[in-house]
Amino acid sequence: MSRVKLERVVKHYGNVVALRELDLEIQEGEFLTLLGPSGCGKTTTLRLVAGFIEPTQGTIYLGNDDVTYVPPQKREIGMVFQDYALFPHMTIEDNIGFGLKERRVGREEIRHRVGELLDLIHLPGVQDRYPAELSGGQAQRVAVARAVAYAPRVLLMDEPLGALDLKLREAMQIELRRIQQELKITTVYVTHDQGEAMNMSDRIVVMNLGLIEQTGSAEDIYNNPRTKFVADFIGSINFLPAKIVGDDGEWSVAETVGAKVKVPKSGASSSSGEVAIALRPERLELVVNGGDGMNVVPGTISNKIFNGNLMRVFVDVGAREPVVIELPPADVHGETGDSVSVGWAPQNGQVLME
Amino acid sequence: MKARWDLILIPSFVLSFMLMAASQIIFLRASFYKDLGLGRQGEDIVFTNYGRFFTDEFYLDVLWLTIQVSFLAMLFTLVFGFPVAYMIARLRSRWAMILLAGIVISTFITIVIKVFGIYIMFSASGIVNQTLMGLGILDRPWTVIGNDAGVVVGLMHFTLGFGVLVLYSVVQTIPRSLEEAAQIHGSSRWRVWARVIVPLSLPGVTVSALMIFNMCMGAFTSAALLGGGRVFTLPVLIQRVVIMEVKYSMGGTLAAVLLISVLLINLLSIYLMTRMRKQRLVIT
Repeated sequence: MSRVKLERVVKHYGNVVALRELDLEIQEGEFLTLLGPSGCGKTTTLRLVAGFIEPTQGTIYLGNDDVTYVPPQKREIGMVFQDYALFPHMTIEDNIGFGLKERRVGREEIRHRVGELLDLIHLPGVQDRYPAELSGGQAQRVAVARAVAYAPRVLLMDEPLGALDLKLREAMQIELRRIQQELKITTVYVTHDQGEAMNMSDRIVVMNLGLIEQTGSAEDIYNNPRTKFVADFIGSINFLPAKIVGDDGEWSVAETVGAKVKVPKSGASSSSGEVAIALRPERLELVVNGGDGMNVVPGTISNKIFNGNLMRVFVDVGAREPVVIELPPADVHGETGDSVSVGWAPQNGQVLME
Repeated sequence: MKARWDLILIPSFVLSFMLMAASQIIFLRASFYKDLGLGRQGEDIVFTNYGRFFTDEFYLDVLWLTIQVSFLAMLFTLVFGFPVAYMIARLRSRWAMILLAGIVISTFITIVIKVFGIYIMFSASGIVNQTLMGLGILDRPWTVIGNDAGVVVGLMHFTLGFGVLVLYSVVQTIPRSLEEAAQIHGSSRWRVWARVIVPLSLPGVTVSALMIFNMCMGAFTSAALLGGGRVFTLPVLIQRVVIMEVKYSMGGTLAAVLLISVLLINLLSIYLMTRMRKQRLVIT
């Protein structure tokens, strides 16, 4: 178990910059997720830690050791691959014991340890089967067992649940998190699925175009996104184009789609240029009359979609896209075409730079 | 009613079958008659040709030599071809396509032209010998033309491109992530080969090896040209017996022996493979 540290790491592929300048530290025992769209540099970062590629610049530490140019087999890392990468010609026992055998552990001890690991992943008794005889979820659990068999310093996971169907994926998220916490192993997880990241991680690193956009807990990132990219990538969100026009003491005052609204003070709210007010759909309301102390923007209902536990109401307020509001179906009054007002408490609107 | 498009296959099947089977049957049938000289054959069915083949040391030596050179050419094709195939299969850039295209094109160039290239380069007055002698490394010309080594080189020339293509497709079936998985879990490059690449490619390599071996056993042009009329493999001898000596029956006998020995060697290999697979020494 060990801390991982990347210091000013840059990676170029020919003329393509995969990582601009990455500084990242993963604490001992922490479950850290690299989250971002494809091409954001998350997989490059993982492969740098694994040692499959070398950085163009910068240093990578495992614990206190500089491993920047140490080959993968000498890094004492475990890794779970997207396609499981189980060895088809070996039994489950030989697969899980692979790393132990490379470390010259004796046969009896391997046998014993594999038994323990199969208990850990709740899959006892499959020692003599072959990977082709397992289901996707079972194969993935075996891949995890193989990766942690020799108590590696760090566990890396590269979109390990991408090939599974939705239900199984959710069950596996809980399973992986349980295994990680039981072993207290430092884990770096890569995914493009924000739900997955939020369900499992101690800390999330949102990446875009080879840079870290924001680092923080799931709650932190959801409630206080620092950039439009992060706000947009995590959960769904509305953006209203706005301009800061004043200050009334407690709040900044912004003008958006023809209305004056109060917004929390922040770095962006002292800007004089174009900004955006970010609004989560579940923190918006349909206001019937007045709405004391709330920001209110008039509009027309353009569409309603029933989603079971909630109703999504699309309100055209004159911005480029309709504002989406999520409400319990019983709270929705009004039909498509009706004039309504969209309201929110000032602290629920966040000003972000355009 | 649905159109039975598969019926279209029948004429081509009949035609191929006739061409393949008819010529083989005529040849094999001829092997049971006695050569009377000048292309004439006797009327009674006899086994004297086969008797002669299996009692005359000359013929047995020819069969044994054919198997030897074919085996060596197969072995060297695998040894030289596999690393090339592996490298191309693991290239990420468009060089992979360029290299493959180069190999395909050179494979389709007729063997006569390719062999004459070797002929010119390795002849006593060719560039290789002139250079080596000029540098004082050799004091007299060394040549591959007209000896067994030359035939092996010629056969390899014939099979190498094809071998690389087949082995390339074998390597491609092994996901790169398996190599990475082995590496990250502690295998050195060497161990990755021993524990992952070799066992996973073994079935495909065995099939490739048989294909290459079969090609060599039946190869006439490269063996004839680089043998220089002095090395007799079975195909070369068949040509000589049929065209120069006009002994159709003996030619038929030699062809039958070639066919059956190739068949036996293949069946034996498949039998051994199946047995190894049953013992889980090789993956299925």
